[in-house]
Amino acid sequence: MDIARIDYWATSGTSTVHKATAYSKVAASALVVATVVVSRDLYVLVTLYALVLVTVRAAGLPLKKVLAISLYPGLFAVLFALSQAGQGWALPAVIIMKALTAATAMLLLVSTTPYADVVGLFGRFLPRVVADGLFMTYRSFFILIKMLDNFLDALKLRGGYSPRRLVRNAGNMASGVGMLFIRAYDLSQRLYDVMSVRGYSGKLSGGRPSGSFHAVELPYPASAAALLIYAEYASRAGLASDWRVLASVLLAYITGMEAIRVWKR
Amino acid sequence: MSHLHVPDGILPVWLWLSGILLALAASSLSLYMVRGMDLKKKIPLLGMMSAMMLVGMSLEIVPIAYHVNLSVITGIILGPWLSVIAAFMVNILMAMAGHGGITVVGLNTLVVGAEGVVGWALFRVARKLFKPGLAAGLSTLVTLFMSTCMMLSIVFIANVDFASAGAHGLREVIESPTFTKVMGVAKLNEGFNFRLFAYAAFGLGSLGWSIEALVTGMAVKFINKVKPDMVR
Repeated sequence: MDIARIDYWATSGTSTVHKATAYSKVAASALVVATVVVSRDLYVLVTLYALVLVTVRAAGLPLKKVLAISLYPGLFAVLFALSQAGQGWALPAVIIMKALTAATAMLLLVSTTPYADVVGLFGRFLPRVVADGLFMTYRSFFILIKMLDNFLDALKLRGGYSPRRLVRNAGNMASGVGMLFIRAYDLSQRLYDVMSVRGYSGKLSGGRPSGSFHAVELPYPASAAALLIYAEYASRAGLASDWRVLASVLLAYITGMEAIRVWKR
Repeated sequence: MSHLHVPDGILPVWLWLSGILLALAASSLSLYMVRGMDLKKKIPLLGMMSAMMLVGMSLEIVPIAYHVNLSVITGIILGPWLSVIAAFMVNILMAMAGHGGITVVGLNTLVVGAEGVVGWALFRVARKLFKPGLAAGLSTLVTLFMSTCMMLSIVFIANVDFASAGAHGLREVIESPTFTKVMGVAKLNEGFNFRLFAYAAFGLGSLGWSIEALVTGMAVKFINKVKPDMVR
């Protein structure tokens, strides 16, 4: 997990994908996940993955780094896929493609949408405690990870970490975790005091996501919807997927994204 | 290891949908149980403790692909009801960062939430018999064994081939009160080696549980010395 990097991408990006509304990106991600859930066709999944990767490129995100982060769930999928290897190579390949596609689509969403917008959108459906808790958790994570980094540096500088003394390292690390819990506990109380002084009345988030809908943000959800409909149709009809249909959807999407890029320039 | 790193589209729809419904029910019950608390004051603490779980989960022990959850210690500090809400929030954030599927959030909330609740309950009992550090360590060990069993049960259920049992068999399975009858009617999907999967989960898991029990035990021991109110 590299939440700090994802947060930086989400807030610093200026691409068309970044400027699209949270609604259209959440809808597109939901359509991609729905296709992943319903389809067991390797070619549909490969096309869907290619579609997501094209969008990652269009968003100006570093493809290698996004792929590296999305490989983590892929690693677990490999373990799961290996346990299914008795049925040939097709099923493990489908499992790995499902994992990579869904993980990359979720990464694309959070890497191109500021967290406040995502929570603002989900906060409309979730209880206030959960929505505000999500907001607070996300912000607190960065504070705590910084504290942990400082602790680890201090531990190494003072000779508390030695590669050969595992038990001693574990003891020092555990004390560090304990200290981090105490600091987090104190910080939460101080945070509450500061927020109360500034007029906190029990409502942190819940604003509507910013921005208005533009036609240029339509291709991603539309292409994902087209693939979902095709996957469902092929599955119900008991047909194997036609590569020409899949290639057409992908080609149309790439052409559309390229046209938008040229037009925006 | 104790929660599911299963990607989207692997588990049957009825299973993950049931997981989401049960997780929503558990979260609603938790929210109902904490209605008397001053939640305005608890939200910063809830956020901080959930963030601590995220920090724990971001520290990967590479050789055994294990990360600590810190769910038991969070349960001890937050109490059982808030720890279920914390588990729900943490799993949403993890899924958004590509760590496990978004459809598995419900099942993961149940597993991690159960760790918080059971860990808290065991710690309450164990601390009457042992010192806080040892009580927390033992509670963590037992809790993680329980949650791994939960995780394996989910994987087992996901691989029971109900379709092969036919419609009549399916009804029998649903109506069956005993596990043996389920085993008698349905069979595991061909090609899936559940025994191998279980050996791997218990083998690698037991090492991970020991590490997490050690970290939790020593952390609670430290907290008990410096700020004992936190673990009372």
